[in-house]
Amino acid sequence: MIRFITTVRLIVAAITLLLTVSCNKIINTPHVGNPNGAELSTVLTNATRDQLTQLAIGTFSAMRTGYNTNPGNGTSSYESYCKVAGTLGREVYVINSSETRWLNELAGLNGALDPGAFYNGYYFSFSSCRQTAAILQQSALNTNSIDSQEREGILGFTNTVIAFEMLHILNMQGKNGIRINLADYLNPGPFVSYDSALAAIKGRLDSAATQLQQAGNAFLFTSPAGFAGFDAPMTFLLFNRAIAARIAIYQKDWQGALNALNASYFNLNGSLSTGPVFNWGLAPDVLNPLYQPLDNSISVVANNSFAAEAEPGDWRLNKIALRSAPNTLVGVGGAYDVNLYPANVTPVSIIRNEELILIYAECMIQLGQLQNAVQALNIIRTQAGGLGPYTGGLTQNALIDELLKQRRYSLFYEGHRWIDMRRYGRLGQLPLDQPGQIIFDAMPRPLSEVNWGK
Amino acid sequence: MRSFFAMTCLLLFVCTGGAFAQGILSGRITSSKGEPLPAVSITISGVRGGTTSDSNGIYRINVPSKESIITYSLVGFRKKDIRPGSQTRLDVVLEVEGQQLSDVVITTGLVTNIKKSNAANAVASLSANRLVGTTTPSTLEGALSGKIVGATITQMSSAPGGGSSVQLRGISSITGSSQPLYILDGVILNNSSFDAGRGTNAFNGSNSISRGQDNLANRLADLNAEDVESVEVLKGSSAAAIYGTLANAGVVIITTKKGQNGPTKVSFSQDFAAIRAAHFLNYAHWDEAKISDYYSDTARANVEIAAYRAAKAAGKDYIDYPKEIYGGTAFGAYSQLGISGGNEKTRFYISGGAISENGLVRNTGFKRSTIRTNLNHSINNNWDIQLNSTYIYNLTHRGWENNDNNGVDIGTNITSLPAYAQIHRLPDGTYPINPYYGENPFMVIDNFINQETTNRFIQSFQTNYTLFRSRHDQLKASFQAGIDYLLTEDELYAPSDAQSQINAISGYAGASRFTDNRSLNTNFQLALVNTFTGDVLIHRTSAGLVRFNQNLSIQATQGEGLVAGQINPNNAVVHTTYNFTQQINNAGAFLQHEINWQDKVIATGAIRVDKNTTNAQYNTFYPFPKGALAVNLVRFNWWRAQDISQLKLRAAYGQTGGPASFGSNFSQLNAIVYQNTLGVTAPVTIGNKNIKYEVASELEYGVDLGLFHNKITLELTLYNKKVRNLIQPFSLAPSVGYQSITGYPIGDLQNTGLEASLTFLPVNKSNVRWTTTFNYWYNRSKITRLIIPPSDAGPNLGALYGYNELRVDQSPTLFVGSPIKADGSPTRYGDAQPKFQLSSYNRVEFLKYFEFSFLLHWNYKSYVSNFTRFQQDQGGQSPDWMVSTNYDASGNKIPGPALPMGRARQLGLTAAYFIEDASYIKLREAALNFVFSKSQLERLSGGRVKGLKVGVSAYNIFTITKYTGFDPEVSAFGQTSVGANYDIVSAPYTRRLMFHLGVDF
Repeated sequence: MIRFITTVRLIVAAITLLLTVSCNKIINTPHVGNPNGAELSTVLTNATRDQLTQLAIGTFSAMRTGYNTNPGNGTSSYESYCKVAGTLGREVYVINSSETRWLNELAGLNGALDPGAFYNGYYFSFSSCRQTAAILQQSALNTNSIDSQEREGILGFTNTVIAFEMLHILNMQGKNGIRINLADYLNPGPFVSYDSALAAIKGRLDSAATQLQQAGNAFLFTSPAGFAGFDAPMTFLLFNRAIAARIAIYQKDWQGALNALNASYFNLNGSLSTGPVFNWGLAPDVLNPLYQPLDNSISVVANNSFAAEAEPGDWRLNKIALRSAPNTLVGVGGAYDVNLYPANVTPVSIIRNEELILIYAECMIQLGQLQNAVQALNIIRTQAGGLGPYTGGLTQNALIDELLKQRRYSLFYEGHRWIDMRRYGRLGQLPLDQPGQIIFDAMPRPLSEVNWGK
Repeated sequence: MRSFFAMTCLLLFVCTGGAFAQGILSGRITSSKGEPLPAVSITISGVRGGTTSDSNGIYRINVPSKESIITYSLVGFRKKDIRPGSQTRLDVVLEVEGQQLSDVVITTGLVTNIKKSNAANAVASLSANRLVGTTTPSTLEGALSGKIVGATITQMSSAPGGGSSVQLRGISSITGSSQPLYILDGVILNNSSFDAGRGTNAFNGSNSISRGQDNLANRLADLNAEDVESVEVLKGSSAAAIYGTLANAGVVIITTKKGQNGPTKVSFSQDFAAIRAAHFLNYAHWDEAKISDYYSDTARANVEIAAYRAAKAAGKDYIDYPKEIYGGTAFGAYSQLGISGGNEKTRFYISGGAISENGLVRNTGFKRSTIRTNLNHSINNNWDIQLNSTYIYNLTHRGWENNDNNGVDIGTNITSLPAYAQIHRLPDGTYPINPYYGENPFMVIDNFINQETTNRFIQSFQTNYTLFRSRHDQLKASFQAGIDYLLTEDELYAPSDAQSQINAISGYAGASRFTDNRSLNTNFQLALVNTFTGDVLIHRTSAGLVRFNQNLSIQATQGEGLVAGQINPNNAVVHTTYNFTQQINNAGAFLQHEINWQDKVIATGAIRVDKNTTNAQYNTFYPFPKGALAVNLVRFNWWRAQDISQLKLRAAYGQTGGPASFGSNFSQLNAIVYQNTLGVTAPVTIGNKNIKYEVASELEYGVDLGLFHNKITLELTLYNKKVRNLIQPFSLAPSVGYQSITGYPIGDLQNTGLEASLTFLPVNKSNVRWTTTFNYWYNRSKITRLIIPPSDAGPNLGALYGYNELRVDQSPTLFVGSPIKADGSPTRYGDAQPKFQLSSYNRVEFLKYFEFSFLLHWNYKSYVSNFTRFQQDQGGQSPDWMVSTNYDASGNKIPGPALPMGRARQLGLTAAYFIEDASYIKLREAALNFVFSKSQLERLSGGRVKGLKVGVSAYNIFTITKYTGFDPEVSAFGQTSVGANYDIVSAPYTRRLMFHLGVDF
């Protein structure tokens, strides 16, 4: 036993020797930093002007796609928004036989919507964009590399974007409400009702307007080409007010909407297309995820009622293209492909004068100034549709019908139809194209939100 | 030669201090069939060293005294102890032994071994004969399938060139792969599956959910099973604790063949295989009534009816496309040449192997060439070195199957292709447009490329030096180092005139992608072992340092919009690149002590400490203790029951770790370019600044029983393995703009299970000898603690298809799904893990020269989320599509008139329709071999041919199952531990018939 202890001692001695003499290098393990990208911590404090500019460009980019820059799979924000709202509002059907839930679930064939399904992808995607803006805001508040006007510019810019992204989510969640206090990611605020959320979004937009007014003549960053004409604090404010007008009509605040319109680029005599756009480009930029080749077996088809219910000769029927044969799946389909964007780099309009004129028309109808409404609707009918002037009845109800129709054709597949029909309580008028279909009035709260609770 | 041998023997004994030489004993050792047995180990109790018999079974040994007991042992034969007295000539006959061999040596530490009869863990150990002796599966996992009690081995797809998942004793991680650590001759192997990028939008667009849907091959497919001498499987933490942070999912130790002392032996074997599809799905007939019912749109129905009439007029209204594409016979050829031999000082094993195997689909297949050199050399009596080198070339054309969003992959394509479609290649070389889906499958077969090439070099070096030696003590130093370098190059190509490319979302037709995956694993180990042999106790202490480094870099270049006919992405409009680098370092130290009381009681205690760079505290040691006890009751003097040859009680406890994924503490901003300007966007996931490994602790206990000289053996093991601090993405409220905290300790889980292995000889006569082994095992996993609300785990495709859910007191592999209950929780369905598995391996030797063996495998109640039936309905392929019904998929009455079944089943769908029982009974392997008599052969060939074996075998011979997909053993998402059992229309699995020829010179 004594000998055994001796050998143990020998081993211990040998190991100690090994450890002390040769092992520092053998036994030490290095700190391995992130070799694949910049860390968030590098911008949160003491950000440089370049870093802030990059966050601003990132914010602009995320407004297009959210976090996902791979088009076509349903999680890119604006794409998913248009496809889901488009299906719920029976503007389109998304036909892809390897993902039938675009069709059978969103159309209601399997009963209630699945809170965990991929078609909730817009929710996180818009949130991710909002968070990019929030990071930029936090970085701007924690650095000395910019002056106070530049800081106000970033605050005004980011608060506008934050409000805009939250509005998209709220539109989809509807009566289910959203969270509005998101400062602490480990402790987000509670869900609030649709009306409270809308008021909060409007409030943020208004404070952004004030900040933009105090931001001097230029932003710290150069905006992308699509924001030409809206790229300085005072012109970006025009965009801010256009969104405010959209929110005001959701709030039925018709006078508020008119005030916002007047502070925006609304112009009855101006080009319908005036307004900022999302640009697209070749890799490493991002292609327009809503573009699609025609006559493919995997396609987004227009609901057959879009062509059937159009006035003959409406120019806006060029937004769809007749297929060589109808495309069908699980018992529904369509004869027309959506053809809104002829090329994969065609810009996507964010909010344009055409919509502002329609907002104006709606305010006029609601405020009883029916002649003004008809005048505005006729601008849309003739300039956008190539149609003759309105000949229907001059009652509020008849004009609301006409307004919703013009909105349907002017804003096709841009995420409006479903929301318009919902706010006018007309979801029951949307077509049911096969037995078992349901028209939903809100998207379910995503599973991970349900799981998080409160 | 003989005298040289004797001289060396003599020299050796002089050197080792054979000062007590009394006399030389010699003789011949044969089997009960009279065949000479080479390489029998001959030792004399109380004397170090010994000798082995030569290739003719002849041995000579120096016997120190008349009282000496000589032990003759050889793997596979019953050991014999003989006291020769004053004899000088002693011929010995050894008898074949049952399967559970008392002399099999298994690993208990990083540098120490133990006889299996003394082990406290149920370590599964397979010899070469069990691995590839029956048939020749093309990968090592295939050779293990159904043979390891406690392992769930899944062949994930039917693509040629491998792709298997091995899970030992249940789930050891939720996000980690749960794949064991593979060690080949001391080298820690890379067993990654590299993603070629087929799921990107440029190709099939399936990557929206998760990466790794490419029916990937894991790199274990590079190993040549013919070079393997034995495989040991350390299944749980108690057996694997000494491997520390790397061993949460168990350890598989692979040892390659080494040269034997004796004349040079040349072995050549040539196998041929005929490979056919094991099972086809229904491929429907169409008529005008069905077309009208199938297409809701009359205009479209009319177009189709016209197409059908045209096809019918041409006599082509039923083209069996699945048979045409998958119905052929593919061939495989497997060659192996081994040269081995050596003398007392130097032994060598040199081999070359070549496999060429075609896939069922044209232009797919698998080729692998390996060369290996293993050298053992004794520099002197105190110092030996060992060098093992292998080079591997592996080329796989895996084809285009599994999940897909762009309509490219062949299996999904065929389900939507009606039999009257005319899509064959036209005489002008073009391919008609497939109006039913995204691509013409013949275009894919003829012109698409999905190719993976691996060049790999695995090298290990080992040296042992005896520092000190006395009557009772021996102190040995051992150094071991290994390198595993591999470069896997993936190439993808879709030509610009392909339909799916013309319709590409990007608008740019023609895409190629080249990916280089470069991985370098290096590891070494420096250890000291001291053995103290006392009169009653043997103490063995080992201690040492270990280090493991892994460097991985992935670089991909993709081009879209290619010049016609060009593959090089330089010729593309759009260029995309992807770069990823990963570095992991692990350093550790260990100390182990074993005490053996005359083989009666064997106790082991050990501690390993590890640092790992994936821990936030990257330079801190964390401990992994271990303790084990085995008691051999029959060794005690009071033991009387003669028929019980072994009765061992054993218990072992140990801890292991599972490192967090690389980057779990990173919060990475994403770079984006907008109009040529660089921007960054918010991280998708937030890092955990306190990330630390997952820790598993396991208690295993059991009993080993041997009856009638181990003619009947039973091994029974129970285990309880707890994994604490499971790392899982901590899902945040998505409103906050971060999906999750990348890795967070969210709870604990528990695996409990039973493993039983029974081996006996139902028939043991001189002309018929039948050995049979039954393995029975099950594992139950359940979440025991969760700090997060119940949430999905693994790939979640949505409640409709079912997903795996983390919920306390529920198995993490249980499928849940729609309908969602009133309390917001999903409906519970079956578990992906089977209720139990039972396998039966049988080997019958008869009429002296014949061997017949087979392996049956029963997997009871494992569940799969199967999309196949749904795809069949959707494509009009189900056999009962036209049967009219008033009930939907959930059995609810549909208002209105009756509908065709195929249509009705697409209404009211819930997960119940997708989650399917995938129980099966498979006859995995069967073989019949004929071994020529050695003496006859030598006479006939004039001594040139020493052995000849011919045989026929088959793999995956039949499957009894109610499962409606191609094969119940399927996993679309690769080696994930949770959320693996999805069947997204795979391709037919294969059945192989093989012919073997083996010659020894």
